[in-house]
Amino acid sequence: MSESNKKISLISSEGEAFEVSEAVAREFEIVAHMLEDGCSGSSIPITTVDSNILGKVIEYCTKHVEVGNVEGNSEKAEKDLEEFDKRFIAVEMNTLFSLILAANYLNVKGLLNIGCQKVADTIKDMKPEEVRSIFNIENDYTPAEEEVVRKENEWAFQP
Amino acid sequence: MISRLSDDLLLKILSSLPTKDVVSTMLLSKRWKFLWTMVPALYFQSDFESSKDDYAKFRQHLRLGWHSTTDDITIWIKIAVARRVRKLKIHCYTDDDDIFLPSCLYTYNNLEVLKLGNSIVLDVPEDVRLPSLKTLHLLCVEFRNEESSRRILSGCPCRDCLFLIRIERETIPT
Repeated sequence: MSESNKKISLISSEGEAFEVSEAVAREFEIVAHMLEDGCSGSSIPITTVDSNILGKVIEYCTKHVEVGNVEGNSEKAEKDLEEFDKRFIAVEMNTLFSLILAANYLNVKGLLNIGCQKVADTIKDMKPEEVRSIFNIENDYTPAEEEVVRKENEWAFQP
Repeated sequence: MISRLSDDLLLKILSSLPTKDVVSTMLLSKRWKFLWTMVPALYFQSDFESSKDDYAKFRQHLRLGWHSTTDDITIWIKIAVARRVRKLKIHCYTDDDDIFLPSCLYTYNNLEVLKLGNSIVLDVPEDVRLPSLKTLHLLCVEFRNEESSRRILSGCPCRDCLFLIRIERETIPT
């Protein structure tokens, strides 16, 4: 079996196996390092990531490997990939945070970047109350404390 | 939800927001109160149209603006040195006080770019070591004495770019 056809099983936290090509597995930098360090096993446990999220991360990496393999990578392919990223990351918040955590742990830089950018784009121009509500942040300031912080920084809170 | 993310990840998110939105996050909860101060790049600009009142509030927290004092600048430079910044650009305008820089700046190993302008007075100590400095801009800054100009120019050996505009002003009394 040639190197490029080699299959690797990634095992989710629930024990579910996802069979992927070595090229896709190598998109997970953590896996690439394990392979370079001589880890010869064909199944690698990813114990902190559940099946739902692992499946999504694999979908992202597979698409990026596919596009990377097209010869004479055209502008159109790059545009398509951008469109793919945009659709891929348009998920509800809890999934978005799980994807960011998984991308950070597995060291998939592209996914981590688009995930963080998506959160930033969501926060931008929002009032603190709206950010709290959308991200489920518990306000642990007392009303008096909050007033002090707000007063000190009115310049930032004004629209 | 978002609280599952580590400070590092939250900082990565904050890094791609405009400074105004970054600062606003301090109101979210106690965890966020000081998080924004760790964001690697913040951009501050106060303009002359800001009301004096706004400016006072701005400065109360950040202590930085066109009209900073030597004390304000000293605190900020010490923070910058502690956080190992590589590029530092300070332009100040003051009506009465001249701005002096703390001596720790002149022996700061990691500094690569230093751009100073206007109401700053360089009182350069004998010991100047800026081994990483590649770019030095001194725009209309004042030298406390001739030794100061000689010391700063001889203390930074590997310059890619040196830009110096001098204006004549009365000698500052020592």
